[in-house]
Amino acid sequence: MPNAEPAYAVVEMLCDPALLAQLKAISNLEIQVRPIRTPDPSVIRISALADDAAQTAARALGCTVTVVKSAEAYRKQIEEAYRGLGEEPTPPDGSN
Amino acid sequence: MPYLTAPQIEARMAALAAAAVPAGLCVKIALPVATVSEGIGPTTYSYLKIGNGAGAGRITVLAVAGMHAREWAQPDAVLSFADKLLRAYQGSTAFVVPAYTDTAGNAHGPLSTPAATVKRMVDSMDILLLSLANPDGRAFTQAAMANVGWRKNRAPRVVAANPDTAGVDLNRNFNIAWDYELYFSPAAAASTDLSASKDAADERFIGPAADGAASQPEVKNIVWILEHHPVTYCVDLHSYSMLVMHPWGIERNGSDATKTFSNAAFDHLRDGTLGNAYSEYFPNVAPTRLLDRHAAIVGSMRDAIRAATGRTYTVGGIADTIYPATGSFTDYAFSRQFTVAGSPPIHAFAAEFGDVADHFQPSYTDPHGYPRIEREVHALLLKLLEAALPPAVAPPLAGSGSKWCIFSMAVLDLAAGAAWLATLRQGRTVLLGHRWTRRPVLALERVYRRAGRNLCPLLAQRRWARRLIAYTLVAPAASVTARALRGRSR
Repeated sequence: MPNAEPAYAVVEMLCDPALLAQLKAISNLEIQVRPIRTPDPSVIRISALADDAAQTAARALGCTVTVVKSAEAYRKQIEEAYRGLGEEPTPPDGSN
Repeated sequence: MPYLTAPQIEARMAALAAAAVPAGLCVKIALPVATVSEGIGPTTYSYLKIGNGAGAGRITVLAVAGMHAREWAQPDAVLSFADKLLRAYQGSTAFVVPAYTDTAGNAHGPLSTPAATVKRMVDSMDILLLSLANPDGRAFTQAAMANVGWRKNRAPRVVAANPDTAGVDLNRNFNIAWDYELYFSPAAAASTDLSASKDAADERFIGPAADGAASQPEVKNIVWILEHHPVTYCVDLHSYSMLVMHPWGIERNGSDATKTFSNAAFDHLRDGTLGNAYSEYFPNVAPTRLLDRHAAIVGSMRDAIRAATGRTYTVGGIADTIYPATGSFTDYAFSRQFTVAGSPPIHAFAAEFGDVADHFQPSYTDPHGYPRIEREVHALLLKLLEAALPPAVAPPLAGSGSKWCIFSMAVLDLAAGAAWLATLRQGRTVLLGHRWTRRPVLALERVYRRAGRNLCPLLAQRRWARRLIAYTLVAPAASVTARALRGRSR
């Protein structure tokens, strides 16, 4: 199960689908959304949480790894999500 | 303002129902089955029914959110949708999705649904909103930061020593190709492309084999909704990946009417996305053109989202767009039109909101986080309601110029009616163009109009009679006409 450890960055990877089993074996790489096909059948798109070492390991397998959100930014996002949970919310005001 | 907790969502629904005028405009309805969870609950939870009026001829629409525990944004957005819809209706104002300026400084929106349309929506439809389909899962994810990625419900663990074996993926537990090893060939069932698992520790766990499909209380509750309301339009709201989809998820879409999930002759043979030998039948014949209509609706949803925030979502069939998945809500709701006798056409959709940067808990305060997702959810839901809305005025048959058109009256509150009438109009035009058929057609129309003067006032008051004529006369006539037109064009 993924967690919110500060070392996890949000990454997107383009990989050969045959690598999926090897990717799953990488420590601190948590696949978040199931692999999605791309127009190129030899490439799947995977979004994941990964620390630096896991990103390096994925690159070594041949995946293209893009950091979408840094570990620091992701940590802040999650901390914000948990801040004030359970407190009485402000009345609905059509905030969007 | 933080995300709402499960108890706060219940309280918010109660407040909306209590404040709604007239009484009955918004009702909070408790679901019949309490959750059975590890360390939480049992929890009883509810959904909202918004609609002013009762009786025959109403369209029922269902939106489901929060089925996956970690996807926090959609439940809040569905509740704010309910609030804005009620305010617009009660205040006779437009429903406005506010303008949005993206990170590059480009302005999008606002989108406005006129007050008259909002009134028609609420007056002619029952709008069911299950804003939180997995309350104990949400409570678990919100209890500790370490739980932030939990997807399943919190059903008691299968292996006592392994906490990951708690829970079932609710969106793999519905009774549609649930036992994927029966539905698929061994190769397809074992494919990494398939999003379903019999491993209790997997986040896509379909549920214990001994319990069968639809074993989970949360799934039983959704099935209960479908069995107690004539839902003909529905959507399941998820995150993330920027997708708007329609069935099928179990397989790619096909046109061979023998290849259906219920045809046991194909058990253990279906090839999933490994090949093209089998594709699940998606009807697309006149007059309903069900696949075309689904494609048109997801296209309109994509366009509305793009107009609201500038983001372009990908559209298509679930298996074609994302991955094959068995036991999902969207496929199950869609499949009921083939398994429930006398079912009208059912339109089912699924959406994945946001992108990888939004992740599962987009920032509530960042205008490019939750507020953007909220606009997208509202834009999609408004399009769903628009699609389900019966025509304001039944279109008369071209050339008849008569308000006494029996066929128009018969399909007045049927979504497919406009397509049936359009087909008949084409056929009429062809017949009027031939020397040998023109006179009989015109003579027949005179009789038809005279009969219409007597029948239409009666039909207006009797839904069963409209349905009878629609399904025994209009739909077959449109179908025959469509075949004749196709034959003529060849």
